[in-house]
Amino acid sequence: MKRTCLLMVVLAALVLLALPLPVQAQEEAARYNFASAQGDKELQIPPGQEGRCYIYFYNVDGNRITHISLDVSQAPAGWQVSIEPPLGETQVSVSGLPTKVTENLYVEPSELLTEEPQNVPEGMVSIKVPGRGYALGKLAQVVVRVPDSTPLGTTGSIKVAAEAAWLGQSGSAAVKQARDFDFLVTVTSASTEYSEKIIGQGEAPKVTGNTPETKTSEANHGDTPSSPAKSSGSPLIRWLPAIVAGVVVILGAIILLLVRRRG
Amino acid sequence: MGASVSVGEYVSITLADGGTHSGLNFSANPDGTPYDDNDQTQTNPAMKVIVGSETNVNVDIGIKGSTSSALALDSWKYCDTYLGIKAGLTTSYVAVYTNATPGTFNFYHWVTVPAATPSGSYSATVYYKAVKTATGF
Repeated sequence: MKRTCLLMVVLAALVLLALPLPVQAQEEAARYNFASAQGDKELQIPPGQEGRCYIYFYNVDGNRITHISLDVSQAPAGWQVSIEPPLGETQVSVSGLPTKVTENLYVEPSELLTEEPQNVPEGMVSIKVPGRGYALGKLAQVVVRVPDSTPLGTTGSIKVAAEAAWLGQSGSAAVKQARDFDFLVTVTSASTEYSEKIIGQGEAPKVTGNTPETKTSEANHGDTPSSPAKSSGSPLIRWLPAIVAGVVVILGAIILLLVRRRG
Repeated sequence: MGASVSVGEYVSITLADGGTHSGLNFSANPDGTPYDDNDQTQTNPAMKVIVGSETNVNVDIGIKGSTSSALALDSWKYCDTYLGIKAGLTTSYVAVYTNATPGTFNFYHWVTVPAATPSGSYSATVYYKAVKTATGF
């Protein structure tokens, strides 16, 4: 009798354990998170070379995998702009059903970390989330190649359009997110050493003759342009006629005195 | 030249579904009246747009739609309040919230099905976009 009772209690316990808990039975409402951190928006690239812009994606506030596709929607004519990783197909199982997704990358939901992770899984990056901690996410690189013939100083605007999508939405209207990432590229010299040289000057003041003040100005400032105010003359020059006149008068007076004494 | 430091631009937007029917769900009759998203009530919008606290630029939040089904895009309605004037989705973004800082922003959704619309399944895609304030969509 006791054995039968014990067996029934164990069976009842097993049946209770097999029942889904109320919390498990209630499916969590979906949260579709699209979070990004954009690196430097301005980039300098020499002609004929390539540079890279960085966009980081993470997903610490969502509970669904975020599928991200990226498209270069604006770039200067003739420039080669591509995205790594490139657009490709990912095989996904959605509630047991195999599905193909065309995307550049996907970001799975992850926990926010209080400290920077020491071991970052391959293919992922650690992203500092200001005021919150760290997140494991993924990196997309915008690779920009500037043509050889591009003049130095040229600037080019690049826009990358991102679209975030989530699978498994059962409704009649699916929701997506979109975001643009803008970059400004300046074409610069390949030389890494600093140099500065004046190669031209607009509306230079007309100088009549190689006057001493111009030389002084050049001696003092090297290759820097002398300002029109400085080349207009020093006080010595301005008073030169008066000084000459004074000297003439004094010399005249001395000669007059000498002539009178002899006389 | 003074010292400078470069700080990246962070934007985190979460779409929080109003209920367990993921995405926007409607069951409607062809009578031209607006039907709520199945999870939506006056106090529970179909979708909450949450701007994450790490977002370090003010953003404008816009909405647009697309559809390849026979039900016109204008039949898919939205509003930032439950009792406000319902607007039909358009193919270009329309700013609903401007100069938004981290917080929660409500989007209510409805569908209206004109009379005589054949019974069947109709679908659309709703896009939410956050842009740095005053830079345009």
